[in-house]
Amino acid sequence: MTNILAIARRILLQFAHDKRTLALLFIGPLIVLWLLSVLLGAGAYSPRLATVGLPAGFQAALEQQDARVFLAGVAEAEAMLRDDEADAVLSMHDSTTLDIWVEGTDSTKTAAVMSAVSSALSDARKAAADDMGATIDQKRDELTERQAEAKARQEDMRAVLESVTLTLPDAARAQLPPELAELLEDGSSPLDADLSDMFTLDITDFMPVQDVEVSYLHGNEDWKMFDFYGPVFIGVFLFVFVFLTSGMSLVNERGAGTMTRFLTTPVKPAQVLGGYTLGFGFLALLQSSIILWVAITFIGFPNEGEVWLVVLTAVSLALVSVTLGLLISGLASNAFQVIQLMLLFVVPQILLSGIFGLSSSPQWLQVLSKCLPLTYGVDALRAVMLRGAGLMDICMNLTVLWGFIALFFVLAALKFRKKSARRI
Amino acid sequence: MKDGPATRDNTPAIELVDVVQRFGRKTPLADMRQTVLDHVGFNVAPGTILCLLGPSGCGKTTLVNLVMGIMLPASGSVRVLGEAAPYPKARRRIGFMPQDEALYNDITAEDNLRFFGTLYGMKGTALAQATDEVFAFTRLAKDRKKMVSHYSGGMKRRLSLAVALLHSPDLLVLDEPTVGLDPEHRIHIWEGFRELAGRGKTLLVTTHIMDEAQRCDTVAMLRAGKLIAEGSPAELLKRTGTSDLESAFMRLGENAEESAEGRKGAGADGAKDAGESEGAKANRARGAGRKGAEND
Repeated sequence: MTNILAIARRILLQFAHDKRTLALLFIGPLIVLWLLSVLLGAGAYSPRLATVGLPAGFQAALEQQDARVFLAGVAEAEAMLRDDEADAVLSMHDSTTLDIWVEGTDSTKTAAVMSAVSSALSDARKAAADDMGATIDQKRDELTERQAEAKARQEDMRAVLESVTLTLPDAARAQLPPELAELLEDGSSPLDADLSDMFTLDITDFMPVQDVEVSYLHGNEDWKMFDFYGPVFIGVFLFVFVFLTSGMSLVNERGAGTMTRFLTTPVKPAQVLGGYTLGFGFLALLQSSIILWVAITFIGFPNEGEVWLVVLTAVSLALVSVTLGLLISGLASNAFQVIQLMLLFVVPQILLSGIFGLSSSPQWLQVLSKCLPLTYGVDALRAVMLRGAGLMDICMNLTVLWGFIALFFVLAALKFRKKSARRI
Repeated sequence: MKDGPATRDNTPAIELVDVVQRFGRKTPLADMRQTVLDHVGFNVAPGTILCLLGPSGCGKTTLVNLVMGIMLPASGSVRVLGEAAPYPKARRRIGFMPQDEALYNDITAEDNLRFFGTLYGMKGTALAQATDEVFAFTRLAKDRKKMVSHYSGGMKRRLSLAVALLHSPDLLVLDEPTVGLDPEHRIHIWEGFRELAGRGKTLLVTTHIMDEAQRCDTVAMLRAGKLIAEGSPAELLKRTGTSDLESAFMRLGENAEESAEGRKGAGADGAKDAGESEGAKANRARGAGRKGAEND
């Protein structure tokens, strides 16, 4: 244990004296994270639309959207599209069909156009539905009024007829058809019926869904792309930085001959690796704490969960990186090769870690991603930072990470022993 | 030669028997194998200084690495303080100064010593005291708090020596300890070596400086991977009839070449004998006593 502590202490001392590396260790990731937050945190792109002869209602709805709308003629609109002054030309295909002609090279712009058009369509439809409802109500009122009027007239006529009948001599009255008496007796009228009940024309019967209201289990409507990617990048950065620093440190030891001297002391291979893991683990603890603090407080990273849990996950991830670095740094004989090894061993992990959604990729790729430690770290970071997961929710992920740490450590120790006996 | 006071028994501090080391490998395209050490054998008695003398590339560092257990020989055996590599018990009793500095440039000299001292199981006042002693010996006391990266080449060599001496080992293996040192420091350090030998420590020192070889008890001359001669400086001078070790080395080198050529003509068996050179013979003779007898 003394040896492990001595090695860890020496590594930390080296970093403490190397102010530049130390500063870069913190400033580098923070600058990149801040850039990312600006880049991905910006609102959605507002598309430029050239409109040709759209119906007034739809035109008005479009202008309400987060889009720049230009009224144009057919030729003018086409020229705008070709000169990249507009992302899409909207015109009427026939009296009821909208024609969308998109520029099409940038899928984000196309998506923005589609989103603007569809939300304009939905707004226009909503307005139309409201309009229709109001018209129907108005017609109904009109009808009721007319009905009441007709009823009043009918009553008047009945009263007049009755009075006329009463003035007739009895003989003459007997001559009258009995139906008339019945009619006069019976005060009811078909106009009594409440026509508004029968008249059940309602817009909701034809358009059951007219508007959308969104609520969020996690996050809110202000969450940008950055919020989803932020936790991933924290994990990825720690992984890469720790891999590089530990790998290079080991390569430097070999280059400077200190490793040879190291191995002629009574120290055991597992102690060397343990010292390295401890030293870089502590460095990762420091690095991740500071990065997280700045990221959450100043850059505005989302964090729904507890910070210590985020740090725990980050440090576990960093330890996987250290042990992986120790395991494969034997393959590198200089610092440049460490970077090349990173391309081989770390970049694929980053690609498959969940930066890109894997749900539509081939099965084997999904299986492969489940075999890589970074995937579990990133998953746990997202669970804690975005969904506020607790220790119990991510203990599976942490177990897998620590499994990888143990595996890499044992493999590295075995290889180290073999190498140290016949080192040249 | 008188016995060192700390000599425990008569087992040699270092015992090399018929050691062969090869590098490279045979591929279908080319035979890259290269014999770096060709049946080398010698013993180093406790309390003596053995100087491994030879030009650059003759296999000195390979031999040192074999002694330190950094490599294992292709054939033959290496025993140090009565143990074979990886020296489970003897490690603590060996001090090693490799040819390159092998220091951590980005921490202070003191931290370097503290680090290596801890690995040798030293701590507290014992470590502090030993640190003071080796700093005094290597005359680095006033620079002990400096970063090693600010040290000059000579200072780094001396600090590297300080690391090797720190845990007061019984056996010191020093690969070119005085390269890049000015004469004043070199003389001081050799006086120190003599004193250590006087206290019963064993030293294996490689050098290509003939003047330094003169100060050793035994000189082992290595040439192209072969041990061409071994004996005290005086004996070697007497044998070759020369006045300085440099001429002696040249003479012995010529002799070795002649005899190798002569035996090559004699056939395959002769060539094998040539491999088992004077070193091996001397080694056999030395099995009985501590001091190598001339067997010519």
